[in-house]
Amino acid sequence: MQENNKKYDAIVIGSGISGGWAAKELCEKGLKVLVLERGRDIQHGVDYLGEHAPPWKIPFANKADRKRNVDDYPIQSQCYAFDAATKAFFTKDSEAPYQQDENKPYHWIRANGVGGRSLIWGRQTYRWSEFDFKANVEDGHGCEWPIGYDDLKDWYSYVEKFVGISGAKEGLPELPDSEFLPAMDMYTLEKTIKGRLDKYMPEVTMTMGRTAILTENLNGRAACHYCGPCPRGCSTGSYFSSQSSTLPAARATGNLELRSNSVVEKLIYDSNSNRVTAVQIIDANSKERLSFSADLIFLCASTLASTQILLNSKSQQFPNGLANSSGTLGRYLMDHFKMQHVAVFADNLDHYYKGFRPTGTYIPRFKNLPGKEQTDYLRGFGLQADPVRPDWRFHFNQKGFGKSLKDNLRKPAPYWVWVLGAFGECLPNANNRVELDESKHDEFGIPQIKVSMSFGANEHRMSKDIIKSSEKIFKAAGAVYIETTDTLSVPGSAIHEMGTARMGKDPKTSVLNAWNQSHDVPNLFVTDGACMASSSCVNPSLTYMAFTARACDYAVSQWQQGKI
Amino acid sequence: MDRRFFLQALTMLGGSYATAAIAGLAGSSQAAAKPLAIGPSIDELPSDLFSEQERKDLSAMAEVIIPRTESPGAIDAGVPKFIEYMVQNWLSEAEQQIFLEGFRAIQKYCLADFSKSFSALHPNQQLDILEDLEDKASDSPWYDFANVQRQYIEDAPFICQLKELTIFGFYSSEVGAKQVLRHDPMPMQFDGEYALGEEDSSWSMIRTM
Repeated sequence: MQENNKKYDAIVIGSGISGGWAAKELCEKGLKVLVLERGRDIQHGVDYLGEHAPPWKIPFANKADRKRNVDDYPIQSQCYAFDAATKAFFTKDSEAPYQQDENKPYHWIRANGVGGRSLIWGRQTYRWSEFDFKANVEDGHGCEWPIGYDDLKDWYSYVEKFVGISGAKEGLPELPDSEFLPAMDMYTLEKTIKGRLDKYMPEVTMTMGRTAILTENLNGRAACHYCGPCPRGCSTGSYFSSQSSTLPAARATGNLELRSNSVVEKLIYDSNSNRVTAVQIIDANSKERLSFSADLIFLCASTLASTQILLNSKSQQFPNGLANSSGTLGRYLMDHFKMQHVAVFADNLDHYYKGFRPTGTYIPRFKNLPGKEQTDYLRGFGLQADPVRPDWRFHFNQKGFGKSLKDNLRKPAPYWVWVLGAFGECLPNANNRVELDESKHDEFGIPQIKVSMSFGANEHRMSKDIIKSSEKIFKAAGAVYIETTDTLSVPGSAIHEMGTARMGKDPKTSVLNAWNQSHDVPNLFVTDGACMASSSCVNPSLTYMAFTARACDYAVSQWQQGKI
Repeated sequence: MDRRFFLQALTMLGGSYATAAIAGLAGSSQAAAKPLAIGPSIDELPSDLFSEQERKDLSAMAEVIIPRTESPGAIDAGVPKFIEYMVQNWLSEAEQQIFLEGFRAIQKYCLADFSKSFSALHPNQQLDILEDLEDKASDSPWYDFANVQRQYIEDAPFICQLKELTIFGFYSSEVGAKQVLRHDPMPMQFDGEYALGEEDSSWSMIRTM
């Protein structure tokens, strides 16, 4: 193996939302940082191949490339953000296999490449609340969080000011306000619905989606131009991604080195010093093995990938995976379960919209909170709501020919559809887990992961209330036709997978301490979704950012004091 | 009929149904990938499935479905070329066979009954033929409210395939987007109260999350 003589102060594994933040924070504190990214390089703007392509330039008029999807993207093509103009960001399932429990399908959505899933994320940004951090200890599921909302509050503010989040203040303890840029406007229909909900369901708050998209210029990034399809990439940097935001800030310090096509195989542990001394990689192009050394290691490869690396980093001290003295590594995998309900509205048909607003509205959790309705299940759900005015794409299959058909298809449908998408909290459960399948390897010879996860009784009980509550909201809002489904999403497909290297107070039952630092190995930090001890019901990325910035601050001060 | 699926599909608009190759468009490697915006339009891609006579007939059929009125029609928008490309490159083998059999049956019928090709018939005769086909196909699941493009109906009869490809080719084309729909690719603002007049068209594009 080739050893790289250059020693870095810190190595960050992964360049997505968490890795980008780690790179920025560590570089800005003066550390020499190497970022390792397993996928290809993706340059801001230049490599956004689908951006601003008009409909007549999209292959097959944007109809699914069915054969190629089945062959290469059977899982990824089921992601809502996957299409002809975004697929270059997604990892081919055919080239990156993983194993699923036979009776428990799991969708692992991946975007290996510089920027990771920050290029295709949903950009919804919500703070966790004090109730979220207390949930485990109060109802006994999962381990107690080693920190509370107050520990993270200022770090939320810190990252939000840099990210740029548009949204409206509501003053709700269950959904603390962020540092906001002006909120986007509501559709007339949404204003009608909000007015009715205020009147008929005052227990419900409907607010603009809190979104990592600029409504004003910020730090050289331009306000949104409302072109529509964000996941194609945004060369004006109007939405937050590693490319638009954190990596340029890291690069500006002169302290950043980013190495793409660098697949981390394992971390090398030295028992004498009780430190990770090197990161061993395989160059994806040359297939050659290389190793890099640093004082601090930040593992930000995404929930399952970070845990895969730890599980594959075995030593005499840690025969079951690095930093796994507790035996909990790989366990307590969570993902939100998703449900979608729709209703038809006949209001405001003489209103349309101009500009493609890249977010919806949000109805925060309103059950099982102080002063709110208590139910037969634990924890809660939030609803993301979205209006759609159907066009020809939805009624192209009508009968008829000629002028009348042409004219019918030209105009918007004479109704609105309002969609409620629920994310329900998933309880931490030791049986939901990821392991290595030593009998199956990827093209680099690294053992594949095997994921086994299913939603439990609490999630199913909650799903029944989600249906009931959605129907109640639709009725109060004035729907003329309601369609609910009882289907829960396949685990993983909310792309909010988290846990498997959880934080906790007790080294016997958790992997990381209150600073995202390994209980076992002090120079190892994990700050992506793997660190989560519970799942809340809000979109998690903002919390990973806050954890990462906080952990970097702690790690560097410890390092400067010679403690790491 | 599966209303539920139709409505569910709304929530995924622009999502998993909408897909095709970027790098794979010409079977090329990633290094050769170019921005889609400077690539070929959907009516510029070459195909060599049909004879000149077949192309004339296909064009006439597309024009019956979306005719030139006060605004451009299917031929103006390059739809026949799009259909040929899609039949050759996008339909599965079985679907392609349904299309070709249906298409050739009409041609045969026209020659037998009128001693003329489809394209040489009077527009009213052309319309009668296609309407007759639609009558016979009317119980196809293609007409279900639930049939959105994410789930292409694999055994849809020829007339349904023809309509679907014509409509997608037309409303996705530059001519259709700019002269029949409204094209505003860079709105620079969001106005949620924007008025919709009775004769106003949809936008050419849709938001995707």
